[in-house]
Amino acid sequence: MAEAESEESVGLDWRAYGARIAVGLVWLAAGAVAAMIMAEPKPWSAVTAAAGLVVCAPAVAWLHGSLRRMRRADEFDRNLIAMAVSSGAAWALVFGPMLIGLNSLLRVASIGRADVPKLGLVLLCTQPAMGMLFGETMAQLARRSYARKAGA
Amino acid sequence: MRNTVRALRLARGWSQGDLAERLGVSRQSVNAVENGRYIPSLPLALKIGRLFAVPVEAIFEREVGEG
Repeated sequence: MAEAESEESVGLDWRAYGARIAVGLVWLAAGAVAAMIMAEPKPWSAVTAAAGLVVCAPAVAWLHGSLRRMRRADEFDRNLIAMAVSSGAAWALVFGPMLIGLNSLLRVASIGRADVPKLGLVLLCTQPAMGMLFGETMAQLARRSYARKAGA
Repeated sequence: MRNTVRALRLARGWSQGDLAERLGVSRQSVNAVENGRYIPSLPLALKIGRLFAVPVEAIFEREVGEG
């Protein structure tokens, strides 16, 4: 039988990756909008609660979805899914606290400028989505690297 | 880590997809193992050996200078 599949044609699952990135970008935009809503000085309302959910709930959905994918995957794909989750979590863990610090600095520097603290909050609220985008991209890069010949 | 999985597969006239199906893994996994990028777990390595009726140590070989 002829070798029908080359290393180049190995399924890198670009469609699934693209779909996850598209979802991540929507989450990113929604997180930014949610941050602007939460930054408004007003008492608690259903809208602010919904904004909080927009930031947090997709993270739970992503982790849950990843665990479900892991159950179906073989050992190779399980490694890549674990890499996506751990890279994304590492991103959020490292940059989340950094952004809290940055937000404080922005507040100090922004006396008289109300929009700067909002920017800090936007950065903070978009971190979960950034973590997902980063993690999925790292896993896709690894998937591409595995498809090449060793030493190539 | 070098391996002879590709040669063994081609000797049987199987595509990567055929081998993946027999091993119960994805074609990506087979491709990564053949390319020497991914070292399979012991259970998968044993499965490969059993499938080709070749001892695992005859399929996988450490390259010179490997730790």
